[in-house]
Amino acid sequence: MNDAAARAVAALGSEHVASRTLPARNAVTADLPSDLPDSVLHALTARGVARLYRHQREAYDALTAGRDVLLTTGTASGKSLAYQLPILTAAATNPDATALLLFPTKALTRDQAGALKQATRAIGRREDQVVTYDADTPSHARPQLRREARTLLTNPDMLHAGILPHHPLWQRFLENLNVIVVDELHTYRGVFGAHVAGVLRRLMRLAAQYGADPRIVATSATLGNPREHAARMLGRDVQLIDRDDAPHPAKDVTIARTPVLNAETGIRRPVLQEAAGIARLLADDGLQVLMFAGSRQGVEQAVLQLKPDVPSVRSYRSGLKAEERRATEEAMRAGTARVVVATNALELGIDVGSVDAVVLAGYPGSTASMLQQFGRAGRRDTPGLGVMMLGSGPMDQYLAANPDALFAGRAERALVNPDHLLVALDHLRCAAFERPLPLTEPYGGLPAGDVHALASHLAEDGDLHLADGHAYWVGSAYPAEGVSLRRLGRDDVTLHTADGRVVGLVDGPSARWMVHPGAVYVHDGRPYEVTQLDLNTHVATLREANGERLTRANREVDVQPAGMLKSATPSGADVRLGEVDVRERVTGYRVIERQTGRTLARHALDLPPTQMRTQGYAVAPNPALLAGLREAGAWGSDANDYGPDWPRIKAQVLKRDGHACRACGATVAPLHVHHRTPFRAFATAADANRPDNLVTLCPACHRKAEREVPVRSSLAAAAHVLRSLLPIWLLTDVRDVRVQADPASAMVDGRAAVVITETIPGGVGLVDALADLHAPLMAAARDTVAACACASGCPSCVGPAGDLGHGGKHEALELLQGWAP
Amino acid sequence: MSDVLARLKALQGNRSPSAGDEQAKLDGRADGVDRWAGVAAELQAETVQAGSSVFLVRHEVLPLPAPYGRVHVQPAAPHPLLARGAPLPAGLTPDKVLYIDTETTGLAGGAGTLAFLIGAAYVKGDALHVRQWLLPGPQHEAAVIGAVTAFAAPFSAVVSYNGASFDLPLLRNRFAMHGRPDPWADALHVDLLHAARRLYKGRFADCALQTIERRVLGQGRSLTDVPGREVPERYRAFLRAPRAPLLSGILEHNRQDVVMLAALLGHINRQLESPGRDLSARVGRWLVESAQVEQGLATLLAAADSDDEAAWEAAVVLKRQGRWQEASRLWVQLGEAGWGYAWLELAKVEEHRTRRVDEALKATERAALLLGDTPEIVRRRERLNAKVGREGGAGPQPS
Repeated sequence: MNDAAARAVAALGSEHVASRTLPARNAVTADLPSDLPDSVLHALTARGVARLYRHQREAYDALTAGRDVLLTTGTASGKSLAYQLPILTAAATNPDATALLLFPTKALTRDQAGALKQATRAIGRREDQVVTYDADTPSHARPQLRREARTLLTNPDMLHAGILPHHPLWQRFLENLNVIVVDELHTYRGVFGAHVAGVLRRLMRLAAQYGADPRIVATSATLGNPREHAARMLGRDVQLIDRDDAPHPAKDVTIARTPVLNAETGIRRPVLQEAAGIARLLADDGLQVLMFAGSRQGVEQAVLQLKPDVPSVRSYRSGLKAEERRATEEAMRAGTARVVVATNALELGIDVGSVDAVVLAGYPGSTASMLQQFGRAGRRDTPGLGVMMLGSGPMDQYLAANPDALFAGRAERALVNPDHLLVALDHLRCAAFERPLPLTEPYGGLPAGDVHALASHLAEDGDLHLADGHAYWVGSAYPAEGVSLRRLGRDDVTLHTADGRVVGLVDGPSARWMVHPGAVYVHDGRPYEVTQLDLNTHVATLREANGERLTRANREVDVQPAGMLKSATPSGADVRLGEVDVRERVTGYRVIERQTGRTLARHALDLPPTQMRTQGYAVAPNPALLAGLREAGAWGSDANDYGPDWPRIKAQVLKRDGHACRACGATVAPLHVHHRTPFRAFATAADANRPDNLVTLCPACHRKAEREVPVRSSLAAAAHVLRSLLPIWLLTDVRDVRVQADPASAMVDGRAAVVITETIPGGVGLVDALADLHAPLMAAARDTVAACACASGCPSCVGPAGDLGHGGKHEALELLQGWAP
Repeated sequence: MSDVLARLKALQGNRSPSAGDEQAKLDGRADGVDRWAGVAAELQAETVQAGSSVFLVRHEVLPLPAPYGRVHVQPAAPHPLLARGAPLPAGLTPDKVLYIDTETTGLAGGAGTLAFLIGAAYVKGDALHVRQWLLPGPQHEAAVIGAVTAFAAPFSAVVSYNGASFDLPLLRNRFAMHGRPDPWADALHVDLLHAARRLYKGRFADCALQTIERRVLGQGRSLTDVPGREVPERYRAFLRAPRAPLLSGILEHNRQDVVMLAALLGHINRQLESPGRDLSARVGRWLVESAQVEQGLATLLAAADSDDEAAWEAAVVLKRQGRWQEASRLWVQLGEAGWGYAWLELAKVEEHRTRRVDEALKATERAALLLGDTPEIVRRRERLNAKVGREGGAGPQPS
């Protein structure tokens, strides 16, 4: 089997990185529980289930004993049966018992509804009792569905906005709630995860008030912190069942990477094209192939490329109509589609059977995802084939150099903070709407005092009325409607066309740089130009644009400590971490020609700054390391020794410039005097300090000017590689953190540092996790730069040379070697 | 400012309105009857103590018949057509009918929308009684809901305006949240908005309660009437600082709403019994659609000479019954009065039923004069001309 992969890699000219065989595993089974009701026993026998896998039996026993369960066994390990069994058992013994199942995607819901209907029929109950209730459920059908539902399948958004606020209509259902299933728990993290935890908390509160005490069964991909994550999400201590006793065919896995096109610049062939090439070659060999491409656009692009050679190729992604997806699922099962290109919509447990080979275009961001995707390959007794084509990003390159990291069994940690104040505030409103909130009791992780203080705050707007030790909702609004589980806070900016058509929404903090006046905003593939941004009414007005131009906002970011920071002194570094205020100003934007990337114009903007409190992490080289770097000439972020005449020259320049910043006109002290051409570029101080090379700038403009000097500092180069490598340890999105080189960071007393801040107000715990990960992160950054074959920086390590000037690769390596000796 | 509010303010950055330093204090005043006696007196209501809870009740008696705009309120029970196909409850007499209207903290619905004022009217002896329950604060709701469910249980019909989609589901939520059985589980519910739409849709700008009240009953509202959209905010102001004048207008508004329901039910009953000329078309159609076809057709035909809408509706029924000649007579009548579509209907019958192609062609041309050459008319004319051609240009064939 592996020959096919090796041949394909060789034929295409990709670089072979590593091959592994994941051995086949045999099943470990257990007896069916002896206390199963007859109807369930018969239904299982009819399905050919005579024994359970041991992990299914463990889950059953734990639930029967009244414990909550988290299953993290692999793809195709029969997780669904593990939660179907308690539901069916309850249904068989108590016709009123109800179960609520939460799925993150519609496709999964549909898939499971079919299976549950079948199972319900098999135990002699009406399959109408299995009800899917989501945004697509027509409102005229809802009353009857509410009456009939015993097993309810829905998603967090519907539970939040469509079910819990109307709980009196669900009284019977909630009174009899026996089992709650939370499928794919690892998909709930970050802001979304915190919101879903808030929704589950509300569900549990109402269930308790209706006298129910349901058990919870959660499933998840492998996580580094499964029990912790479950405890945060569910508010319960779960029994973890992580040993997979289902049989798995062997998998021959090949890791390859795209070849270098240009040795000097380090440019490699595009990963998507390369992976599609592998998929085509494997299909030519008669194998059925499932290819994972990262994005919707990626899927479509790969399908276009494959169509001429593999006419049966199909796509599977969000945004397709339900019938289209069903047809693809069918064609996959039947084997008529020889190649299917999917986003990770298919990674989650949709039952489409197995394929011969799985091809991944790039590292999917976590080993759990990677293994789930590979898990689709291989049939009963035939080994499966997996190929992961690594691309040019630093993370892919790190993994190409360290493929063992992929198979070490180390899983990423999922981070979620359900007590995040802004999220908690949203859900306190929703909870009070649903049922008066006692002010003398804690709510989740919020102490009673905080509950009282927040309720008082909300009472000022008139939405809550405090009396009798409770907060009562008396507002006119329907708070769940204003709370999107996917976003934080409620000051979204609505995008309108001039004729009032609503195009979309942008969250408040992003509005300033995404839809500032003059910005080109692309929505659903269609370009618009922003004609007006009104931050008071939260409306941006758009008109259609031709798409030949793009814009890029200039964002100035200033990070200030918000209190005492914690310190640490890992190798070669001074680290500070804690709460910071991130002040951001959008000062202007560039208009760029799309075809060429050429800057056509620059415009200034006058927008009010935003300020946000979040968590920050600053790493500065310690004095000893700094001295070493300076000696080696590997430090580009210094204040230089400008010579004995400097105070006099500086005073002259300040006077010449009228004691005002020449860039923005600010006259507030302290003002700096800046070398237009860097001091280091001159042979003598006298040459560097000629008045025409000097200019008065305020600290903010100075910092900006320093960033734009053509010599890229080692710090900026190191920041680039660190930014790309973070997701190796944390299940996080690159947009959740900002990594920047600050030549004068207020977090470390004005010294130069790499500054990492969370982009979510308050943070979700990424910074705290970073403190634990400092050493491996620095080592990985060091190895990635060291292993890169490029001359002086490329997209695979510290970022390309070229438009940023000298790449700073060797300097960055010196710095990183100091931080990870 | 408390620590948690300071953190909140920092998180919200300059995006948030400043969190005030003043914390709203938990309303810790004694919350018994004494506290509300003054407000109750000003509102001409009484306080009722139920356990630790308290609420206000206002009761008023109106001798019947009472004038209301152009009509009089008189004892009435819903006409069978208003039951929308359901059987009328046994022994449904006027004194078993409860007129209901609520004032709420919002229109959103769901578990968090409160009915802070529940108004009811009912006939007892020869008087209309109006009873209103007012919630002095949400913490007293259980007591009010208990009182209302107990009071409502003996009635066998509930009459509302838009209650099917608003007041009743909302009240049922409140009953459920306080563990009370639904007192109207077996009662007939008559939503007069549905009846008003059948009778008046298209006649006025809308079928809102006050439009119907003004145009149909000839009764307006006083200048001091509280617009509906101000109601929730006034109640919230009352919760912050209880003053009777904030609510007196709302009580009056609600009182008039339930009296209006009693007046409107009587008026609609009379229209259904013997519709005036202007309503014959609507009532006739309603009867037809309620499976009382012959009675409906008679109602329509009785008004057909002078009412085009009735004539049209009657022709529709006659066509469905295959009574082509009678239908044709009405279409000619309507066509002469300028209804182009009546000529088209006639053309269809002449072409396909009576098979008089020339007559069909004539009717089509009359339609074209009124409607112009629409694609449908052009197609029909071409087809008819072709038929005339096939028949050798001969005149009308004896059928």
